[in-house]
Amino acid sequence: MGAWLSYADLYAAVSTAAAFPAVVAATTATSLTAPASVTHASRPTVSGLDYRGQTSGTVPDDTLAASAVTGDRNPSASSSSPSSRLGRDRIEKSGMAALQEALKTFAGVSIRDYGGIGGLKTVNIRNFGAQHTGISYDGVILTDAMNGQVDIGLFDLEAVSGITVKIAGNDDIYRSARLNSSVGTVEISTLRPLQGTRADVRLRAASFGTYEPYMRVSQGFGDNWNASVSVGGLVSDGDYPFVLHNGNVTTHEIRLNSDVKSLKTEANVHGEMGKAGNLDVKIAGAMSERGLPGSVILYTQHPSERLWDKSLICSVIHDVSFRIPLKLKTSLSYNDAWNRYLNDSASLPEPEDDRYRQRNATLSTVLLWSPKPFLSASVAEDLVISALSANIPGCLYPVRETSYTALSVKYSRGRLNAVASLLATIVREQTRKGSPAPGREHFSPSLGASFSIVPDLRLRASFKESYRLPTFNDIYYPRMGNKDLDPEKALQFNIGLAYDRLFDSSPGAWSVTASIDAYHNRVRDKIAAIPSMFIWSMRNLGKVNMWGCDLSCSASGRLADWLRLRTDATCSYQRAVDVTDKNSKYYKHQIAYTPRYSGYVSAVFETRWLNLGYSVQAVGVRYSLSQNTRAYRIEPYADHVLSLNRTFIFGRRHEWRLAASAEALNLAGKNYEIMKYYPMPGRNWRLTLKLSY
Amino acid sequence: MKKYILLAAFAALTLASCENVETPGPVPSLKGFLILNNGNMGSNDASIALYNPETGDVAGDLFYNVNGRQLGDVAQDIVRNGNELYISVNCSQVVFVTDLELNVIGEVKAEEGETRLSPRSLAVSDGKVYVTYSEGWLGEISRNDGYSVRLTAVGSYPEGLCIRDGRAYVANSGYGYDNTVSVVDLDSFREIEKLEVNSNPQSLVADAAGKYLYVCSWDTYDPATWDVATTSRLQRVSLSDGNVVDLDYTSLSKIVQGPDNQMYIACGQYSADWKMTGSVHVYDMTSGKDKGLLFDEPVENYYSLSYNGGYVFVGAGEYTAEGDMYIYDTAGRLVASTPSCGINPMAGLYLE
Repeated sequence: MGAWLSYADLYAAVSTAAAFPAVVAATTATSLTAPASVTHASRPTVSGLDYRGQTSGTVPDDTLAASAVTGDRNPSASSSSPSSRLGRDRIEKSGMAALQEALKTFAGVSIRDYGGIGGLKTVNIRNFGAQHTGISYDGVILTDAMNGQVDIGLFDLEAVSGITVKIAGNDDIYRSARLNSSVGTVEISTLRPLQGTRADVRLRAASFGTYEPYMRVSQGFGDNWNASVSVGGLVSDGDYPFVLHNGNVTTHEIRLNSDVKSLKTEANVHGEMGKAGNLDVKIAGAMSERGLPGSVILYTQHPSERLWDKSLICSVIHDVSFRIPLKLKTSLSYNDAWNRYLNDSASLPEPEDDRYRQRNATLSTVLLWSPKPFLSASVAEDLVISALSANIPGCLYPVRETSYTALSVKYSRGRLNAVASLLATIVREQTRKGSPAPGREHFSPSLGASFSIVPDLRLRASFKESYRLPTFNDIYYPRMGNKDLDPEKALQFNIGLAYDRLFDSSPGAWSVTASIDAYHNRVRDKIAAIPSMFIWSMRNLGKVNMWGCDLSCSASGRLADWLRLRTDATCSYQRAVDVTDKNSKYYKHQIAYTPRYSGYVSAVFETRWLNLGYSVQAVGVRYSLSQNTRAYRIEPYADHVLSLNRTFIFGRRHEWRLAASAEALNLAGKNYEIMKYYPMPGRNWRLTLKLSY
Repeated sequence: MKKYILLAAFAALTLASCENVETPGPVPSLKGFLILNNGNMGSNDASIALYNPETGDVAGDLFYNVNGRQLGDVAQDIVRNGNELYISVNCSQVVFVTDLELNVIGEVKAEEGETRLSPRSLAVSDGKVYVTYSEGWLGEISRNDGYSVRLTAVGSYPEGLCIRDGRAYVANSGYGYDNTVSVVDLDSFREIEKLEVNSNPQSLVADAAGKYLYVCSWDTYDPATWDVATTSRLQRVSLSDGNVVDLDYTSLSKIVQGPDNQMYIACGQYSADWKMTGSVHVYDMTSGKDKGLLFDEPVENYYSLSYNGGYVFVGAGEYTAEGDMYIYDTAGRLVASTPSCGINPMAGLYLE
């Protein structure tokens, strides 16, 4: 039972891979250009605007010069699967402040939002469920081994330089093996520390007693080393009013127990050591306390749950290129997350006061070999150790060791761009008490290609098998867990067209990108809680089929000497049906919380004096229950946002910038629901002042 | 504190405005089987359906249709007291009192100090309705002063109760950590005794002679399977000398009082595809003998057992879809099975 993964063997495999290029490196003098740009050498580049050649995660994060001219959201038109990027420039000019505001601009991405600032917010890609989404933060994969889903709610966008979302495949083969396991990835990168001394101080005030101060200092040392430190805080009463409709009875209520306090700090060191490669070190700590308002309960309000979080992330990433066409990236990261859940409801015999601690350590290596300008191959290995301890009765103290190995090949020549990967996953578990779940092995392939039909227009197609491992809760949670769970599998077939055109090379030129993707997905062995007479139990029971289409387009250019316009639109259709059991009452019903139609439109007008942005997100009918009956229908909603911002530049010897920004959120003011009985705040306001040196 | 005052004001507004609510659509004359549906916790989707055995029609969400508002979150029990119905809604912390047409005529919102109490099981005796509150109280609702509540402390997390000979017996489940039955004298409304039983008592039945109390306890969950199917037990407690005897049943869900000094015992088993199937034993409390199964075909997705007015109600529910109520007569004949009457059918009540 629970044959222990031979850790020494795995480690030997990795260190061999690491040692080999090191030997080579000693004999070489200069480093080679990044293979990523080699593989895109065949792409035409516009002089001074290298944005079209930069795809799939290799976009330098602080090339603001390029982004300022072109708008930096690039749909990565040559990619074999949907991939798009949202850059700093657009984040600032549209007045986005929270990660969920940024993510809802992507086609195929939806946020499950339980309302309010402290409410749980998770990212769903094509409605597979948050556990299928891989989120990386500066190359560190955010992990929650207990629930499998990451709450993005308290994430500050201030230092974010770009967000890239990739669905149903990934053309970047120089990346962590583990990201291959997800149906899609959200890759967040932050501003790299800049040369010289830079400082930002931000103050933000928003409705419902919300204040969000932030400070960041970055300092260069010599020409090659930089360090930055940031501190951000958040306090919010969160007590927003909402209108509650109960049949013919309408009442005005206030959301209770929705307060949040949080403090985050982060330190980064970035070093460029020439032949010895680049080094990035990150230490990030966060703590928060929040009330959990729970769902609105008719005739009474007695929220009694609170949550405390403390977390620490440490990571070291080393990236080196060698003279022979090899690149090696190694990272070591450690994540320690503690939380306390308190429910002191009077209806419980005694308060529930649970503490959980998760520790994750990851060693990740990827070696990229580019023997020809058009051909590259990589081998990537991630070793992850996750441990959970808790004070709840029946905690078995599980420890999981997971090895992810990915072999990938990429071919890019002439009009064709093709990529293939195979991911092998080995899981071994042990527990301090009780018996552990048996080991699991899983192979998942992916294939993708894109072909240029005519200049600027490409056809793409991809196939990907991904999966989610059962979480610690799925396996070990007292009374519910099931040790025999298999991974939940997701098969994705995607075919699409991508159009990307820059009309000329002048600074105000119009550029247009558009893409349309049709897909079919199948979820098998879906992990679901199955009720029985006494207890709920986790089983591999569900089957879901999906058919869908994502459309996205954007255009930007100069309308007049004083006016630039950038517009973006996405539109999604999805039919996702439960096909578990022909005899069930919800056979072929749309799965819960999945709209058939959703869309997003935004326009940003940029002038010398002011930037004006408007966006609307519209989501159609959803059902809160597997059985789609009228009583469980959730009405469509539209969330409008208006933003105004301006940056003042002054100072003689040093440049000072004062950025002022104001947003009106949910202009229509309706307390719409994303999750049933979790009303969203109505119309609310936000003011931000940021001084940069 | 201000918030609470405001809330109270809103609540008052709610009540005031309810009286002017126009009822949408015609309300069927309430004859037939009323079915109380639990709903899913946090979803405010408790409901009451009416099954008309003559036409075979199911009128869903009757409470809403009559009152223009929803029943609330997690309806737990329904009883008839003369010409009134009492419906406990656990998470909404209210007991609705309605007439026999389901028009709300009272709302009982009990408080102990600053804590609103969550009503659970109901029982009727002598024109009064008794209710267990999850916070550890037994309440007595009388019609005086607009349905006032008298409270007395019992054990932790009380579930079921039964009343015999001027005494209420309350199962103190303790959420799995208590093992007592509180005996409350209804005159003084004080707990006079605590009987020790198997841990996690859930439902109680007293025989007609007042000689024995039957206690269905789920016990602590089996650490191997975290299931109570293997640990639940049925005990017979002698009310005269406190002598306890274990009866030979396993995988018990619930016991309810039937007619003619009989008791119905619901037991559940997992089927091959991990569905819970339920069957009901008939136990004669006079002879102390099991009289076999009430019906042969087990009910798939078994959820609840209740008895009222000569009919045995077996609910089938699966949380993710509307459930069905199977209604049997005392001879075990299936009188009706109502398809899709609401989420998790919990209890039935026959209105002649």
